[in-house]
Amino acid sequence: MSLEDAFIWLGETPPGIFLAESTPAFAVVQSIHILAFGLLGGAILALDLAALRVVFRNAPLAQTGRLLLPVFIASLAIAAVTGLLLVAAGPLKYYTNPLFAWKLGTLAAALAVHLALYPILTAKTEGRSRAVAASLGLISLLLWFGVAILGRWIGLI
Amino acid sequence: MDFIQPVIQVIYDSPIPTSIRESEWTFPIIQTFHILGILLFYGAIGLVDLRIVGFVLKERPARDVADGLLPIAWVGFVVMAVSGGLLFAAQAAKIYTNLFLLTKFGLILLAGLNLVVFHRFAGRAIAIWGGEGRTTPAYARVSAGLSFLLWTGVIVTGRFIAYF
Repeated sequence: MSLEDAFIWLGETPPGIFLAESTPAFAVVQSIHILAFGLLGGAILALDLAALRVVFRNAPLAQTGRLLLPVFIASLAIAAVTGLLLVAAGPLKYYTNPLFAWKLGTLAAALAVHLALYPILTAKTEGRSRAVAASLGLISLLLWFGVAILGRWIGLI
Repeated sequence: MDFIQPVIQVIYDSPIPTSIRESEWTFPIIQTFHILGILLFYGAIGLVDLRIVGFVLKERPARDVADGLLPIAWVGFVVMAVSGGLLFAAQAAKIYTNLFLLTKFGLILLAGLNLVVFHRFAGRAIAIWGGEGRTTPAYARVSAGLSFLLWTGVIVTGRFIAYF
């Protein structure tokens, strides 16, 4: 099965067919996608700002990351499921859209920063690690804005 | 409500809204700023609200979470409001009777009212109950929960304007 077949199969599943035919249902799923995306962005933003020493200045960064993890995981799960449903409602539109692959790639990079680089590189908050954390915070913010901008433009081109 | 239509028409026909409407790229670019503003605002205010309700970041004092994230929420709010105002003005004559738009305006008004009431009664008290290990009073949790639901409603009804 090629990647294209997988997209086509997704569109032929019951939720895909239902969402392709119902505008209100599609708009509801899209709204939930944006809300979950916003909360995920909030969790990412809070950790990035902590890494840049703008918020939670007196707390260890690793601890802030751990406290934000439940919101991060829950909103990521909701955004992923609703995102998959939106693709199912019009799979070929996304398969052929060059920005879609860019959005997924940028998202993967943003998630890698949060789930892998942050925990590994900022275990200590002293000295050099603080500059590393600030760089990660900045990179993550830019990646996140990138995902949001690409997401909006998928629907426009 | 006869006076509204002429006012809307004047806004709609004025130079900036007209140029936004007639340009191919300006509208989607402003839309992009609108979504970025929404994400900043909702992400920040949502975490503050959910902290006060007691769902997230419970180990951090509510006051610290609010102090850190509310300035971000305000930045998001300004970006969201300015871009939203421009998007509305550019389409005003076509959408000012849209049921979802009117519901959205109503919800924004309620969210603002909730904020004013909350600050009127709780404003400085957060310095006391928002500290480490303190219990959040019921009125604060209700107000924060209401804020979260109202802003969620604003975003959902906003998304629906595009479809109906």
